[in-house]
Amino acid sequence: MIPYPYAAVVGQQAAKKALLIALVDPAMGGVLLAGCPGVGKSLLARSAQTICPQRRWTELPPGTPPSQLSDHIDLEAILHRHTHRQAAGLLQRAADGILYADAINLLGPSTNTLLAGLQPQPTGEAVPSVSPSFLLIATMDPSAGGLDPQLLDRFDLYVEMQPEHDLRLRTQIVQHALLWGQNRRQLIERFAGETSALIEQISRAQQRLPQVEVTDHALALAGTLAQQAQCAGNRAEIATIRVARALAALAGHRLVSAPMVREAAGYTLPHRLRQEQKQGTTPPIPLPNTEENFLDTLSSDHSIPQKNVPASADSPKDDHTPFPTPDGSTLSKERISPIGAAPPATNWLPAQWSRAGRSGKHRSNAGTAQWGRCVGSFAGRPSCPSDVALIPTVLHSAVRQGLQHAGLPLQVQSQDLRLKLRRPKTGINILLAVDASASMGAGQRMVAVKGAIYSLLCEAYQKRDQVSLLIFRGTDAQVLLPFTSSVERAQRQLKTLPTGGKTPLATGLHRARQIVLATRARDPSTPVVLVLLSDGRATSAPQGDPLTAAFSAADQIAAEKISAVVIDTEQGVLRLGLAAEIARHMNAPLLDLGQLQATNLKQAVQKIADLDR
Amino acid sequence: MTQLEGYPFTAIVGQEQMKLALILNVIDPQLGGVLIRGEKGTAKSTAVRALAHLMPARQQVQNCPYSCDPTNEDTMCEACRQNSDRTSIEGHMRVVDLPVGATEDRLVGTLDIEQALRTGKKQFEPGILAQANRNILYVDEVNLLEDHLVDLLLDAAAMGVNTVEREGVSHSHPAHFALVGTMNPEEGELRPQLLDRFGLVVDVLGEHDLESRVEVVRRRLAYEADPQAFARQYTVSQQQLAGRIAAARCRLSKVQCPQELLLAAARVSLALGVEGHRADIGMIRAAQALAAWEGKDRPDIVHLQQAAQFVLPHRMRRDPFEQGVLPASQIAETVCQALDQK
Repeated sequence: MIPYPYAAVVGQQAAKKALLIALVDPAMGGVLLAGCPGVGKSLLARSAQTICPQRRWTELPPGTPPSQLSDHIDLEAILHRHTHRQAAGLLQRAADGILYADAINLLGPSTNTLLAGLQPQPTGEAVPSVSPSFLLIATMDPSAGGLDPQLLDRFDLYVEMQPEHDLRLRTQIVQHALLWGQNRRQLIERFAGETSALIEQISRAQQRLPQVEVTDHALALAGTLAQQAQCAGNRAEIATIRVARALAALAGHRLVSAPMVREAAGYTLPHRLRQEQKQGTTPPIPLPNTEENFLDTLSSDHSIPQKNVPASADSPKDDHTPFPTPDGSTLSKERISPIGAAPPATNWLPAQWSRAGRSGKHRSNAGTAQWGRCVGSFAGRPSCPSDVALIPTVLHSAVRQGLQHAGLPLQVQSQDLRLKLRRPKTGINILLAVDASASMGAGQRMVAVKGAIYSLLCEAYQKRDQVSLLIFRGTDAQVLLPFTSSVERAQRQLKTLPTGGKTPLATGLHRARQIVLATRARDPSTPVVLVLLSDGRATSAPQGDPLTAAFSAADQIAAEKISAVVIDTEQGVLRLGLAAEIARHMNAPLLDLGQLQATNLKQAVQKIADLDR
Repeated sequence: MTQLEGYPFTAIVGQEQMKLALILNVIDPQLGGVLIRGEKGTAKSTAVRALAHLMPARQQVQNCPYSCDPTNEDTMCEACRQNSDRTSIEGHMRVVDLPVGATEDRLVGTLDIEQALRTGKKQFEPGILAQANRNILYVDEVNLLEDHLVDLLLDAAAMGVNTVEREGVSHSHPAHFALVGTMNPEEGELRPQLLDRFGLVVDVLGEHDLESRVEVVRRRLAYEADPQAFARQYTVSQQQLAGRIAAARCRLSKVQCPQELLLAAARVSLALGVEGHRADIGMIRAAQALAAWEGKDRPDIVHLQQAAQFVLPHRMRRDPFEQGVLPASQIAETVCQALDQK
């Protein structure tokens, strides 16, 4: 396949320069290009081949099994030459060349570990390995998920690409695309001159590089900048200096100057900013790579640009028109609250949310899952034909037979059988049971609740969780949204969620319990977490005292070992503390809405989900 | 052309937008496919399958699993490129289905186990993406497809190449295809990354006009009673349509887009805040295909407006939760405004 010429890429100066820099120094670890869909990340990344044709180019397709990356058994060698030999894995083949990986934030944990130059161990930790060195060029869309922190250090350079706003450039992009579609050779020829010039430029810079010197002042500046950005360890400074030297070599200078260090920092620091911050704070959105913006942020008060805050523009409709309930009676004083400003949902999540390996526990039923991706194989007796992993079986048979010098065809014996190790999806099912009674509409409670749920939905969207929305008010409980991965629908329901009526807490809890049990029965491998949002002030029940009924329902939930979290929405001076009681009966942790921040809720849900595995 | 027992494309009642979107993709396969969103029972699948019978004839290399184009050395597979005695035969564009339970191996291809067992040789066994090259890949209920399969499709659809690294096999082959997907939005949304890869989007609703509804049922009953007789009634219209499509394909290479239209497309995208650049490129390509369809050599404002209706609605979101719907009138107006600015 002929790649699009680097020289024909329109605009994107920062990203293009980052690639140039990376190609100058063979010790560079990697370049990460981030941006929204359609901005040209993959196009530009792949075009790098055209300015360094002498370096081998290898691609890592999505979904590549980790086993393919490492060296593995050479089937042909065994069967034909009767020698047990290792064939080079993908990483070995990429040695001293360039490895390109698209959507690097969506790769599996084992792949990440291997790419980071670490060797996964049986105990779950990863130790550095003598892995082949290559330049890793990767792309990602931050809104689809965060980057695994193991990989952060792999990337010396990071650029966030923005779409072009200049009209002339935009039309040029279209023109080039159209020409590329009609006649590739013509476009390549048009830029042949520029391409050769760039190859020449890189080659000269490579020759100059060993003579470039770094002053103490420059070293100190690199250190200062890294410190201000609160980067962990020394790698950030080292990367900054490395990039600064490449910049000097490209510009034909023998000394690294302060402006070069600053420019380099614009590439090396943004993805490492506040890497150390764990629970509680949200890392800032990666910034466009202009020195001024970036350095301003360092010295100013780290105000976080809130890109993803939803427009809470709907003014509270103090809608007093009665809303008909299923039993025909009407609830008075309906209010529809807007969604409160959610704590900033970042598009750059710290990767402690890597759910599959987080607790380090292996799922006991992983191998026998009926569905999910096949991620490996293990020896065993199959219970049905589709359990057999054909290729590992063939390989094992080949090894055994090949070493015994028996001829072809291959004879598979039962000891060779390997079964599929399936990894079910990592998402969880979250059932939100929301108290929509009149007391919730009071003050800003519902606004805050909606805000908290909204940011939970943002997280759920990224992790492919399924969300269900159950509300209870008046005398019954209603499922507004059955389990869906369409968090957009959840958000729509959330927007129009009205409040009013009494609190049928017992009914709500019963219904929630039923739903959780049914969901568990349908899909035993996915954890279900019940999130109850209420002040606990039960005021209605089918029979008997509302509060007692609610406690009893909560007991039943605990008895079924349902994982749950209770969020206490009680406000005001007079606290009855009933939600805490409910939580106790349910055997669930309690969070206070007042202190609730998005991250706390997410962590609580995550912790509960892990326990449920 | 032998008339197979499919429901004829020209017999589908209404749904003009959807039919046009599909036709445009046959005219210019680089448009990037169609996403058809709609409630159940709106002839979505019927239309896509019926399209197969309208596909023009084309040249392809004999015995090549990828149906390579014998005239284009740049896009052919390695085997064809090195084969000096390749012979060219006549074939047709077809619709290749992605089965509901497809595994990754089946989709991208993998080690040929039979070869391995019999001869101990490591060979690549082509998968569905291989069959899809130069054809249409049809994914029903695309929003229910598993994420890892979606990721694989995305990559291949975008780059036109399928690179496979698995089970000790390392292989890549051309995979240029138009992705046609259908979905029922009630059942879940598509991730924005996948949405953006679809060139065109069409939202279909059931026919509301009573007469149309009656006609839909009448035709379906007639078809089920005697498919061949029913199909014969539409032979002429089918042939005419096929001819028109073939003519448009020929004309497409001569269509030139005037500069004002290029600028207008850029202004429209900026005004409506669409993400990325695919919208611009899509609008111009679609406008050109529309012009070719109408037998013209230059697209005009009407073509651009029509193109915008297909290309923009699914690209509006910036936040996973923003509604990806824009009223048609607003799009049309924006295009007009964009063209008025000189």
